[in-house]
Amino acid sequence: MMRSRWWLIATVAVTAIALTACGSSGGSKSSGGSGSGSVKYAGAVTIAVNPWDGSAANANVAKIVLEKQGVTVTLKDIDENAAWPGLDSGSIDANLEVWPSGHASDIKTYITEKKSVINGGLIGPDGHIGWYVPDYVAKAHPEYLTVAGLKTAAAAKYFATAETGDKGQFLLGDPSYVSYDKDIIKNLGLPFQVVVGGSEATLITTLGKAFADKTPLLFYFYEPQWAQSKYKLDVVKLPAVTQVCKDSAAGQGKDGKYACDYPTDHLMKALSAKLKSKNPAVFAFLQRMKWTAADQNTVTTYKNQDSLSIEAAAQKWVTANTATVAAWVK
Amino acid sequence: MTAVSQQIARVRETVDDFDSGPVRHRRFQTRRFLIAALAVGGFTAVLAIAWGDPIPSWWDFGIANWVDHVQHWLIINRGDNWAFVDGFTPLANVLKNLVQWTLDVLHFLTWVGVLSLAVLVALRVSGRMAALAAAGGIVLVGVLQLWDQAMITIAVIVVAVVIALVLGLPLGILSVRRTGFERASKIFLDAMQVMPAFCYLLPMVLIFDIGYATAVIATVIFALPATIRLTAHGLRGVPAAAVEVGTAYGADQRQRLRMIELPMARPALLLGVNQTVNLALGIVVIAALVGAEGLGQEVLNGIQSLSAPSKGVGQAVAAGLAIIAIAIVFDRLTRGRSPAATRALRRSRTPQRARAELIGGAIAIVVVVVIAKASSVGSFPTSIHWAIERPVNDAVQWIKDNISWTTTISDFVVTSILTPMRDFLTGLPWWGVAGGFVAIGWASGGRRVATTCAICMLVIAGLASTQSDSGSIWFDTMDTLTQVFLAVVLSVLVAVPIGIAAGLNARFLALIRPLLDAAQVLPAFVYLVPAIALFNPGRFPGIIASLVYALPLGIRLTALGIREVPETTIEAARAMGATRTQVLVKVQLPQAWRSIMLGVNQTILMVFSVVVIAGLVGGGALGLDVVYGLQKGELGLGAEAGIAIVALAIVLDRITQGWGAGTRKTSATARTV
Repeated sequence: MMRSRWWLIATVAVTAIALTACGSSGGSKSSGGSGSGSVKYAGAVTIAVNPWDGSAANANVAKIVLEKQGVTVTLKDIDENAAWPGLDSGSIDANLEVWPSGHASDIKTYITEKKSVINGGLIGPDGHIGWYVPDYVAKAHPEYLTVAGLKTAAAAKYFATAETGDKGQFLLGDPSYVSYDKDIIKNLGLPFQVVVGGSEATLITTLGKAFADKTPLLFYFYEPQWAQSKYKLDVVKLPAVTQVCKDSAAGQGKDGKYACDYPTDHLMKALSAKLKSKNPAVFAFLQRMKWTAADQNTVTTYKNQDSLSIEAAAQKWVTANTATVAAWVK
Repeated sequence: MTAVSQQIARVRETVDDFDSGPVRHRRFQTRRFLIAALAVGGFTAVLAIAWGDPIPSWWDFGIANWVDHVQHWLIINRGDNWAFVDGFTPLANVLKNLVQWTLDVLHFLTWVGVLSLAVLVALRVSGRMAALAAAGGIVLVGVLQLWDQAMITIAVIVVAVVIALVLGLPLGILSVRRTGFERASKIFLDAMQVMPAFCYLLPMVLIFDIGYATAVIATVIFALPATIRLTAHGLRGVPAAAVEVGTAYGADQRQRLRMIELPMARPALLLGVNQTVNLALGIVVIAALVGAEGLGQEVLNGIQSLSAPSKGVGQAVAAGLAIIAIAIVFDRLTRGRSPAATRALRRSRTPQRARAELIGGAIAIVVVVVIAKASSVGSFPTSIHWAIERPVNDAVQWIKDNISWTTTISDFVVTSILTPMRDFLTGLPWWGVAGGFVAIGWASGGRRVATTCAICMLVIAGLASTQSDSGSIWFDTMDTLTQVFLAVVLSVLVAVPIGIAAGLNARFLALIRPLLDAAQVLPAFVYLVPAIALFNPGRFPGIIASLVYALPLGIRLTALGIREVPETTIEAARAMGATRTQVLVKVQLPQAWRSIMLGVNQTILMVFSVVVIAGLVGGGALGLDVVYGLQKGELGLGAEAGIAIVALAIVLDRITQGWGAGTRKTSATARTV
């Protein structure tokens, strides 16, 4: 009696699971759009949102414009590295802001080798990575904006922390961002040591703390980044980019010869190859979508200073920039 | 209460391990000492001569390269290979749909339906007070305006916990039946507990794609050891006499299990469910990294928009509170009644009445849901909102602006303790460190522990020459070792006095218990930013994070040990004229020693499981290597660092287990004498 009931339960469970598996594979196939006409929008797409404002601005603007054309858009919060397998499998259709310098191996594997992800062209804004100090440091010690100034023992002492002892501290943030700082320090002969903050939150919190206490800080930072509008920062002038550095950068700095400023990062879009066959109209739209750093900054500033939600900020920009948007839609 | 259970399971294992012999080493015997000295010395000499310093290239496992090749194969072949088409992808779809269905059910119930369901289940399983607390937890989630995110998290947790139970119960039964299986599985369970989820997150994403499926599997891996251990613990607790009675009445093995052992082990099994849920809640933030969204995503969003006044740390804290609320709800749903209340209930409730209650409850929920649908109640009303974001952010800003003396503490610890210790360890030849650990292992637990230490050190050595950001895995291992060591010492220094106070004073324990619960499930990401604001990035904030995470367990185990001392023993001591201090020092502490040592042992494992957090706040070392593994696609480096973490954790775990087990014998002897 008892046993037969268990068998019943087990049978029901197995059947249910089998049905689940079947149901899902059927479901995913039906989600493709028609897209036969040249500008016929339909279907559904999933766009990745990486954990920074610029990425959210791109995705939300795309969502507003596409949804007006009748496309269902899902935004997916995801780590930028985990987004690549998603693009590869087609569970994510597009990532609209990839910093190529940090993803050389992903680009090589997924775009060049496997061809499951397609380079969707540039999104518009350029990324700049560099060495920064707070403005009060630059004012008190303008010499620390030069390599010669940083070479001195006084500089080491000035920027030293408990973690670095008698060397100066160079603070790095998120370890996934491209970094040649160890090589730059070694090759330029600077008395500094890299401390890896481990996350962007660590870097920005330290920055805020330094501004509150007016303490010295030399760190890795980049643009576009919202904190650039909150804190006044000055850039250290590193040697201009040479061919040696370009070659070194091509190999992700593995040769250890990097000794210049960071090259400009041309932010690109990564699109799933599956989207191209599934929904060519949306694919073409996302390829055409391109705006400027000023546009993107407008949206993120609406959000950070006017305390709008990112959706409202994106909507405000779309309403004010119909011409730009019309060119994407065609 | 909940967290204590798993440790008890472990102590049983420990006791089983050590009852057989090594304990005899406790008494000093010249012959045994000579054998030990000879063995350890010989081992060290062989390492020094045959291996030499630095570690030779022929003793390099090359795991990083191998892992990188596997990763590349996975990337190229995922989607097309038969293993994916017929195996992984359908499995991932099943998991994804299970979560989606659970989510659909939760949405269908609406918030009033979920509330009444939770209240009724808590009423039936755990009584009135528990139902009240569960209701409070659910309302708190609503008031924080995190309803939808919380439902996603709950759906993932429910599916993961059910799977962990479906796998864990049979495996737990098996490990009671077959000691061979238990011995073999022990190291895997330890590895699952200590290996940072960051190590296997990316491979999981490659195999099961982004989204719920990967989140569920990562959660199951992390929570399963607790389920298995607690099941085994519960079954071992069933009195042999009860089982024999069953045999005498002619019950076969399966009948005995179903009719006697499982029902009698019910309290421990409920604790197992409870603990599984708590552990699962511990990695919701990590689940969010692979696209599972929910409350974990709220935490991440918060610390990623530190400037926005309505987001920032405040948003992370709000999500953290919601996670704590969910932990409370699940705790009350699975807590069960006290043994006395259960007996009283069983007497008063006839099967008919139980069935009537069940049907009545179901009808009540249907009615509530129908009314809710009719009056179009959806999510929690937005008008009731406890907006804690701004006050929290203001508090963090105030800390940034006004407190700077704290950095003198962290600076002192870093320059005077951590750096000299690291310099000392990395200055020693590697075979010296290995020999040292084997010697400590022998002294603490005899030959078997020494052998384990030797194997683990050789494993670390086989990874050591791999290049990492700060040099090599060996350097990072020594760096992590010093950080873990200091964190454990500080934890013990804080936890033991508080634990003693809590053990002596039941009211104090009741007062701090909610804090302890909260500290265990609150994601470390929530308090990282304040920790950095107070102590600058580096090795110290990581130590603070490990303290927050590890302290509750140490406090609980110490309190448990003190409270377990039989009342009669204390009375006897009092009758002989002992003062309160004498009773504490001469009676209670010695008898609680085993439990305190178990606390030290568990603290070590807890500290190891947050090594990655240290990597995220500037602590570098193995934690940072693991982060590189996930975030820069350097999977090989991450895997090697993960293995090194597990090996180091096993060394320290086995050594300290020896202390607890050995002294248990002595204290037991003391009691009989």
